[in-house]
Amino acid sequence: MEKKSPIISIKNLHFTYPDGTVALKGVNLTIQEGESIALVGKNGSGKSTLIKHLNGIYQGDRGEITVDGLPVIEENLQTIRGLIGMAFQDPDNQLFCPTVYDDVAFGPINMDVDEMALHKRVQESLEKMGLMDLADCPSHNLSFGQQKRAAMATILSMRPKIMIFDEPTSNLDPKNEAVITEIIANLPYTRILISHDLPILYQVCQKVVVMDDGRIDAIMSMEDFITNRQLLRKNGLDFTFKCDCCNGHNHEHRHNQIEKKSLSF
Amino acid sequence: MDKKKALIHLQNLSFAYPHAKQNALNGIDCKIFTHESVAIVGPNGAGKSTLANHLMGILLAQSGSVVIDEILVRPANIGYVRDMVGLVFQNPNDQLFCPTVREEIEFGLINMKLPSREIHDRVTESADIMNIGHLLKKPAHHLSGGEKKRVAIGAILAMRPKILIMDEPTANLDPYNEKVLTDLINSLSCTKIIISHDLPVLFQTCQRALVMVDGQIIRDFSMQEFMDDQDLILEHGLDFRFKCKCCKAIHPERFS
Repeated sequence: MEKKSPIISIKNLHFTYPDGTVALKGVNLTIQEGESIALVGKNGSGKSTLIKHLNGIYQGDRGEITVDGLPVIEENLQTIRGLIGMAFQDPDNQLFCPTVYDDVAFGPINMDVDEMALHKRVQESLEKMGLMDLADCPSHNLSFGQQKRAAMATILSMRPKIMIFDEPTSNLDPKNEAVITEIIANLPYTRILISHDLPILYQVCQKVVVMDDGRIDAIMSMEDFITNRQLLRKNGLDFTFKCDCCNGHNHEHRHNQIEKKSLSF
Repeated sequence: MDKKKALIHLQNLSFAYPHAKQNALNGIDCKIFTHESVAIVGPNGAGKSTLANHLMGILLAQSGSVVIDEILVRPANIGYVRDMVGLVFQNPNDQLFCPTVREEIEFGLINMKLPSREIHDRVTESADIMNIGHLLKKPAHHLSGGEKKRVAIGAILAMRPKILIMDEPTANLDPYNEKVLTDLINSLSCTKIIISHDLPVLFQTCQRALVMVDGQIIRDFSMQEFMDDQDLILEHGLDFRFKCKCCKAIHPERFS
């Protein structure tokens, strides 16, 4: 049997912040090309710290990481940053150009994409994120949800092999959440999603990596994860108190009504 | 006739950002009464956060008026208004700037000129409620997104405002802390305004819903009426039922 080499390999990774906070305590993880991974865990469990190691924003105190076979070390960073697109939790960290168009063009320009192809990529990314009308606006005048979509467009335009989304749906309205969920679900790349929004992860990811206190606590299928109440509770991820709402809006009954309504035409 | 005085009274409030083609707020009229718990919902860019910024005088009315506890919000009254209203910003990075988490929480209390014993007690209480006691000595900018959010909420709670406004309070929180916050909001007796897209949390914390679209309040009714109004929910992109698939996997019996 042919053994595929993983697109991401993390071995025994340790990291301590300058203030002494030990954030990663020996992380081991392999991710295969095309996988869609949910990275979950309590606030402060090390999720965002871990992914910032993948493109060398942070460098571990100990351990090894390879991305597409390349060790994450200084001399490979430029190549690796072309392979990994990262949408940060806070879009403010990502948007800094005079207009939304310029922000989306920034990455491909740095990758020396020629002018014709550049324009096409920017248009495509803006269109996908529903931002065509805002292309000429300064990013800082957008609402937070719009900024979030703009930040994602800046990654799409780079066409990376691996896309990492840190809380992609936070602050988005439900329509945008649904749109972005579908876009992410259909991207042909390896994807890592960090989120506390388990209903969204449920629709996008097949595999779940649970982090707890700087370590990987469990790796399992989404279906096993979502029905494991004990594990959910242990990791502060039991969101079922929110399911009360499903009773409040009499979900299936109305869904059926709406479907019937549209079928009758 | 209802003679009850409104705690918050907005009259024909309009506002446009510099260089914007459209008004961000377009003739808002609204009364909110003491002890109400009000959800503000609406699509991204509807003007929800802009409205919140007017309630504590961060933005000032370009036309119309904002009256809080019978005081008109204008530069001369800002100090009074800010003692009354606590606003938890959508983005905690906009709110946190002190060297440590403890100083973040103390900041508002020192400005309120509280005695040091009281400041100490309130910080302890707030840290306890928000589960951030272990973070008090850390710089806020070293915290995770969810931890920052909890510090930002704790800092406002410590000031015990009469009116508490929370802009996307559950964004970036893990479900455990979402549940803690939901229970906490329900236990607070102050007037509460919650801006969120998290309808399941709003459903559990608010009795009244204001629906904003394009800078206007297009509907003002009970939370249950809002949840029942499927046409409105669909029309304005607020239908979150695609997320219920997950609840269905966990609680199949509820969907039979």
